[in-house]
Amino acid sequence: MTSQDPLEGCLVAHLSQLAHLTLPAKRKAALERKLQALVEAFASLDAAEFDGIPDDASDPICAPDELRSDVAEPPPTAAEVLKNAPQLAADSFVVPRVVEH
Amino acid sequence: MTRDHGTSVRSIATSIQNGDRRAVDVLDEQLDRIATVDPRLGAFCETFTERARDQAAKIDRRREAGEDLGALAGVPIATKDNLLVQGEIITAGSRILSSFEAPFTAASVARIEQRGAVLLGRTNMDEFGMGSTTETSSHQQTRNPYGDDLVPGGSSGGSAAAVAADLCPLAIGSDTGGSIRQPAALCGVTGLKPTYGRVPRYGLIAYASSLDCVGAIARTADDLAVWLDCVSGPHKGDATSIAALPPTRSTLADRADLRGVRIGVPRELNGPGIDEQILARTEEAIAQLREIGAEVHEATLPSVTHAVPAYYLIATSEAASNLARYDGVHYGWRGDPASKTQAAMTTQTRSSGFGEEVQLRILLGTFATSIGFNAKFYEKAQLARRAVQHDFDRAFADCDVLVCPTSPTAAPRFGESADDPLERYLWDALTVPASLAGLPALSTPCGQTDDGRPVGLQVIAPRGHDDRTLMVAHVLQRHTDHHLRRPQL
Repeated sequence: MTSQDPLEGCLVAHLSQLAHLTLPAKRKAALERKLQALVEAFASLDAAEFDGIPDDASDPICAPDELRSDVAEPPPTAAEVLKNAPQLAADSFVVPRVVEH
Repeated sequence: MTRDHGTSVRSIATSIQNGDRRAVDVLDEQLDRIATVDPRLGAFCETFTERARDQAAKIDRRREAGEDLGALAGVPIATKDNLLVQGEIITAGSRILSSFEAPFTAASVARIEQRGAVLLGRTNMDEFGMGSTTETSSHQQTRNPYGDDLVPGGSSGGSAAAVAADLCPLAIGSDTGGSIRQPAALCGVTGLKPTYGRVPRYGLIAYASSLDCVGAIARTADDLAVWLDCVSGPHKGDATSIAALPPTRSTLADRADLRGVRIGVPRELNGPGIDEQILARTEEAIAQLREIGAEVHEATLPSVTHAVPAYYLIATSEAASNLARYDGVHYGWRGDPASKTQAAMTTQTRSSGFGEEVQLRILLGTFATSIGFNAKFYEKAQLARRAVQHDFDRAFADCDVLVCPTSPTAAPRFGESADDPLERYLWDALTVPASLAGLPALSTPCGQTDDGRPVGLQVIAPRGHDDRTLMVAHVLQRHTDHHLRRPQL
């Protein structure tokens, strides 16, 4: 894709599927247009050169040299885990069937 | 300037500790003011009235027993609607969490409670922190105390409006790309985004994990230093939290001028794209800094021209991953119960539970990390982030702090640029560079526009030197009174 190419409708449909979103027809065109504008503007990054950054340049995130010890702690109770579940039964999350056929 | 309903964090805590005031009385005054002012302002989603009364009464009992109450004794503090408070509904401004009851308290909130704070309530915000105006909240509209038609900024717009209107002396917020600094500037108060990792994120509802910081908004830099000393330090629930740093408040106490402080003015953040009146107020503030002893010179950050695309590609990529957890199964709101399959239920839940801006950002993040586009967008954004960080490293070799405007404009009106996301994202151009580099940055009031809208000056320091941002703002506030200005309400 170049910065001039439109973000094809089929790609937006694929992205929506990946993101578990359904775009109603009324809002779909507006969202596609906004996404298109952003992608076109941000495509400028691809032409930028970022050479000459030393390997020892600071990292914004201070990852620890060593991870903390793996200490076993009491897990949350079933009641705590299920407290905010939208639907539950017999200490379990209830979901519609997972396999369609 | 008008009436002075609020007092400082330090004076409230001292008066309660000394027995001059009771915590329950301080709380009642604050709740009365919220009841009077907030119906018009919309800063609070909810007050924790019963909880707050219990906490305040407990503080008073402890004082009577002669106990040390802590640096925040009886101070009513508001928390943004994305910080968990055990047993309270916390929604991150989203319909999808409208019934979510927090199972534990965020580390940053627990620490202020341990130091005597009274949790006043939760403040309004853009949904999941995605916005610069608080207009994307699924709750009410929050107005800027300086004008009913003006936005308070965002995403911590409720916190900034609450402090500006004296509904509380301090409010906690979060800052991913400017969400504390920008609303603080637009509402005429002081806001601090600490060094990334200085305040643990445990219990903060995630937007973009490599950028999210817990920060605070108050009337003065001095109050923010008190808060920062209470909440800093590592936490086992946040692997990116950093080791404890020396207290900051002690570095402020005796400082009367800025002699020996080197201030850089990056030309890329002090020129094109910024409103003329904002630039004028910034130049006046820089002249003031020079007058009180600072050595001021020009600096350069050439890579910040790429900061907005880099920030939005990284933030939305992380958001697309973080928000995948809202599937309608484990917690939160569930859509149509008649959905025939789990996949259909999840899609329906997310499509009707997330607002339009959140959906747009999820789609952008999904795009930036998808096969075929990852190298051109996400990986390039990460390179740009390193370049921005490297620019800051070089700039700080010659100066102690950098200064620039916090926002390119004063508070916009509701609906401005609502249909143009790119224009809205460019409002963050001055705040996202420090976010990408994980640096501490603060906004302090530095005047107003001709029509009375507040203007903020941003102070940025090297990582771990939050004390420098607070010190520069503190000294400036000792020599000016912009931070004491109050809106007509």
